Amino acid sequence: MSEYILEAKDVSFAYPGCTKALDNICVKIEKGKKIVFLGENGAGKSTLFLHFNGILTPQKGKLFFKNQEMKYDNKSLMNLRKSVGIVFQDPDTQLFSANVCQEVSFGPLNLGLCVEETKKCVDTALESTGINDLRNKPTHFLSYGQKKRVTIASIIAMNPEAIIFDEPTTYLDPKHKEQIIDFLEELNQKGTTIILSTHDVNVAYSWADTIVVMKNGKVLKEGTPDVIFNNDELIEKANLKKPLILEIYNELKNNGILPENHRPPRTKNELKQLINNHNIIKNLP
Amino acid sequence: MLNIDKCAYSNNLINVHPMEKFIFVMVTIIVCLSSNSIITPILILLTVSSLTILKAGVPAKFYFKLMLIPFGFLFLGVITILIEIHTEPALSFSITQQSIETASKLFFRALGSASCLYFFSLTTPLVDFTSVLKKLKLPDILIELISLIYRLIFILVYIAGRIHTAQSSRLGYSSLKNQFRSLSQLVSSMFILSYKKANDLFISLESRCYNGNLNILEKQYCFSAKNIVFIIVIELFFILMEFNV
Ligand SMILES: Nc1ncnc2c1ncn2[C@@H]1O[C@H](COP(=O)(O)OP(=O)(O)O)[C@@H](O)[C@H]1O
Ligand SMILES: [Mg+2]
Repeated sequence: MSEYILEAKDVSFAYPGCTKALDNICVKIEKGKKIVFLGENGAGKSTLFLHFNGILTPQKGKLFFKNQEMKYDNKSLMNLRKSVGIVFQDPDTQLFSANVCQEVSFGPLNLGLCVEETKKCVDTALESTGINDLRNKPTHFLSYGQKKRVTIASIIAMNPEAIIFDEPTTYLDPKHKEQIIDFLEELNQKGTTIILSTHDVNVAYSWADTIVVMKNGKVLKEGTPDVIFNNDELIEKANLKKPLILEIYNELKNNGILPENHRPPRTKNELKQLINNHNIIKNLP
Repeated sequence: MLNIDKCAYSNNLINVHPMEKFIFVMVTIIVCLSSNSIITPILILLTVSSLTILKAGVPAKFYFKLMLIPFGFLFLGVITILIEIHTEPALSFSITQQSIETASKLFFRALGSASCLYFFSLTTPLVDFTSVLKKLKLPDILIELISLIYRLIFILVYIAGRIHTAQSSRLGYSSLKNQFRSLSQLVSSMFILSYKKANDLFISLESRCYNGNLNILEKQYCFSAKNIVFIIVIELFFILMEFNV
């Protein structure tokens, strides 16, 4: 049986004076997996993430952390936030400290680690996010991408079991985007559960274990990338686009160039290999 | 202000213990302000300025520009002391030996102290300044407020800049009437945005187990015997100059 680290059961939530931001949400987050949330702006992704971290409390329904119902007293919240970190979309609202090293040390010190242990955590976090050379830089002279990495380091330093990333790749250039995704992959390999929201269907398709599609505060569907992106009706309804790789593959398949019974390629390399294996280019008229 | 901050992080004295700098600056200011001669403040002004430029590596041009600010204020202020106004028997102005002396003493004392304050703010990042305040046992709440305000100033300056650009690109500042309108809109959106930013910042602190104290790791510095000896020697020198003249 699979183990769930987070679960939302019939969760509804409305901001004061607004219509429902979350409407009867049911999601389960499996431990150690890569879960991607897709959905247009205002779908309720960020609001749901704040529930996963115990910042917002549901107005209806329940949340579970490791199969235990979430409690909102100080001790339980501490325990939850120690295990589930969240990297916010706008790094400027997360960075409060005047310098990088101090920013990263905030979380571990709050967990009650001593100075020596904190230093170790900070060092590892800076090292693994590749910003060791920024450690004594003031936060306000960093570029957007650097700030982003500092916010990630400040969460990694707390060594959580699951990390939530709210649109981690927006505003990043392609190179840094790729770096972040590779980095998340690396984190996941080490056993961290990764939850992220994005508008990039290509990333979602090639990277996710599970995709959750949201719209207007509801979960439209949850499933593997194959299932989600071969559901044309769903894609239309959620205003998503088909990943380029899948589109090319489908085109090749529908024109009889590729055999029907193949597993669709997930990454660029898999598609290239498929094309080479079937000698498509040589067979062109 | 942004440039002062940039200097504070990139000068050559960044690795000197902030307490040493603080003590040096405080003692020098006390000596300077309590001096009765004119030589000591001038010497302090020259020494501290050359320390700032030569030792800390602050660009001379930038430094002189900064010094022009207190210089301007002092100049205007000192004129009123320099020129004595008599109403008896008739309205007349005069400059006496005495008034020149008072004015120049005041002028150099103030300028000398200003150079000390500049030395400190140009060589010490805020992080180090707050660690000094902590050592001086100031209340935590005050220190945390200082650091948060400091951080938020930069965010606000940045946002204000962006809104201003967005408005200018749509001719928001093209006429006097437009200027007033755009500025009022800028101020009101700044208010809303700063409220939202503060709220978001609080959420992000909460998500990292914020418990009411902004615990952060202090940078470790070592006291240097050489610097302490230097401070003692130079302060003694200033004081001796005071009594010899
Ligand atoms: N702080 C807030 N106050 C009021 N309404 C909000 C707030 N944050 C989000 N909303 C509203 O809640 C809905 C869901 O927003 P959000 O969770 O941010 O969506 P997403 O992250 O998927 O773009 C939107 O309709 C949005 O306008
Ligand atoms: Mg969002």
